Amino acid sequence: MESVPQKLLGPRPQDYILGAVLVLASVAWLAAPTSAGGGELRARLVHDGRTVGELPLDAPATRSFNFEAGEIAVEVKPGRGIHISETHCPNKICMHEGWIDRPGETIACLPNRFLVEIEGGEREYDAVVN
Amino acid sequence: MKKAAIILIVLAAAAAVYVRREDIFTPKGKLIERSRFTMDTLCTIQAPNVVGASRTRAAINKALDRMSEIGVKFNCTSPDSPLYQFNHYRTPIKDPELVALIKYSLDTSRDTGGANDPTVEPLEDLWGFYTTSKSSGTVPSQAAIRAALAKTGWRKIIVRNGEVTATDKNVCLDLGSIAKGYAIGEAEKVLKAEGIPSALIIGGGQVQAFGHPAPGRNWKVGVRNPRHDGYMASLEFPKEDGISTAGDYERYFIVNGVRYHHIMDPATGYPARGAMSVSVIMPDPTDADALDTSLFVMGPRKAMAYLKKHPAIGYIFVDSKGKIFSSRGNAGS
Repeated sequence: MESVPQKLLGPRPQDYILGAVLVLASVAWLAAPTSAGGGELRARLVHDGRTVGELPLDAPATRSFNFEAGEIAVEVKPGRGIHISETHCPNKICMHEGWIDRPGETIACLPNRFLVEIEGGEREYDAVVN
Repeated sequence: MKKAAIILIVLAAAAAVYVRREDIFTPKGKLIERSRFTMDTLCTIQAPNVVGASRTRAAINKALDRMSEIGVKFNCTSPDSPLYQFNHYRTPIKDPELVALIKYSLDTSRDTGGANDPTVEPLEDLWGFYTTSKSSGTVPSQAAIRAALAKTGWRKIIVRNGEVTATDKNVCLDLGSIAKGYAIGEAEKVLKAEGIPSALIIGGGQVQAFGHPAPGRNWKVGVRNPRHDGYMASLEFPKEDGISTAGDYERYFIVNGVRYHHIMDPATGYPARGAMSVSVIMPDPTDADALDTSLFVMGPRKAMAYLKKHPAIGYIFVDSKGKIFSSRGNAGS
C-alpha cells in the first residue's frame, strides 16, 4: 500500500487561515442581529418585555392569556387588523383603542403589562398618536 | 508554541467581535428603539444609531430610567410620592422639583381661567377613572359630585417659600395632566446630555421629536381620528417639536348612549362636553401636556379665543360633533 506523504498529514499555514476565517464567520453569524423589518404584516404580542406570540394579519386568529389583571384576549380579522377582544382590567382602555393594522401602531394594556405591536412592511409613520 | 499563539489570537479576535457585536453589526442610521411601561402608560424612545449602538441604547435606558423616577415621584397613588403624603397626611411638599411643577400647574390654571386644575383628584376617583380605582361604570349621584367638587379648587393650594401647603384640609393634588409632558422633557434632556443628536420620545398620546431620523428626512407622526379607523393628520417635525393629545376615547364608559370620560370639567364635576379630542403642537412638552387638557375643558369657543391670543401654538381641535379645526393645512377626517 502506498503511504501518504508525511507533509500532507501535518497542518499547512493556509489551514490556520481557513480555520480562523471559519471561527470568525461562525461568531459573526451567531452574533449578528436578526433583521426584524420588512416581510408580511404581523402582530407581535409582548408581555413584560418578552414576546409571547406572533400572529400574521392575513389569517383569522384568536389568542387568550392569563396575566396580572386576569384573562386578556386578542382577535385578528384579515382586512381589519388586530384588537383586544376581551379584558378584565378595570378601565378597558386597551379595548377602547379599537383595531390596529399599520406598521408601528400599538395597543398597550397597562394593568397586564401587555403590548400588541404591528411589525413588517414599511412604516408610514415613526409614531402614531390618537 | 506558535500554533497555540495563533489559536489564542483567533479566539481572542472572535471573543472581541462577540462582545462588541452590537456596535459592529448595527448599521449607522438604523433606528434603535426601547419601550417601557411607566408614567401610567407605555413609553417608547427611538433614536437612529449615530454615536454607536451600545452608547445609544445606554442613553435611551438612562432617559427611560429618568421617566420611571418621575413616574414614582409624581404618582399621587403611590405611598412613596410626596403627593400621596400631602393628600393623605397633609405633609407639606418641599421637593424642589415637585414644588416647581406645582407652581407651573397653578400658573397654567390662572392662565386658562381654571380649565387646568391639579385638584380634580376627588372627581376622577369618584368617577372611577384611575387605573387603580374600581371603574363603577355608573354616573355618580348629584350629591356625591357636589361633595367631591367641594374638595377641589386650585386656589386652595399655596406655594410659599419653596413649600406647598393647602388652605383646605380636603384638597388633593394630582399632577397627572402635566407629569407625563414634564417626564418627556426630562428624557429629552438626558438624551441630549448623552450626546444623542436625534430622537423621538413617545409617551401615551404624546410625542416629542428633535433632530432627524435620517439625513434629509423628518420625524413623521400620524394622528388617528378619535372616532373611527384612519388618520386625520400627518405631521412632520423638521425641527424640535412635539404633539400632545387629550381625548375622550380611552378612559370612558357609556350609559344610556352617553359617553362619560375622564377629562373632568372642574366647574361642573362632570366630564367636559365640548370636544372629542384636542391635540396641541408645540416645542415644550410640559406646556403641550398642560394645554391639551385645558383646551379640551374650555370647549371650542373659549379654546379658539385662547389660541387666537397665542398664535405660536399649533392645534387640531375635534369638537363634540366631530368637526375638525386645525392650524395645520392637512387635517381631515
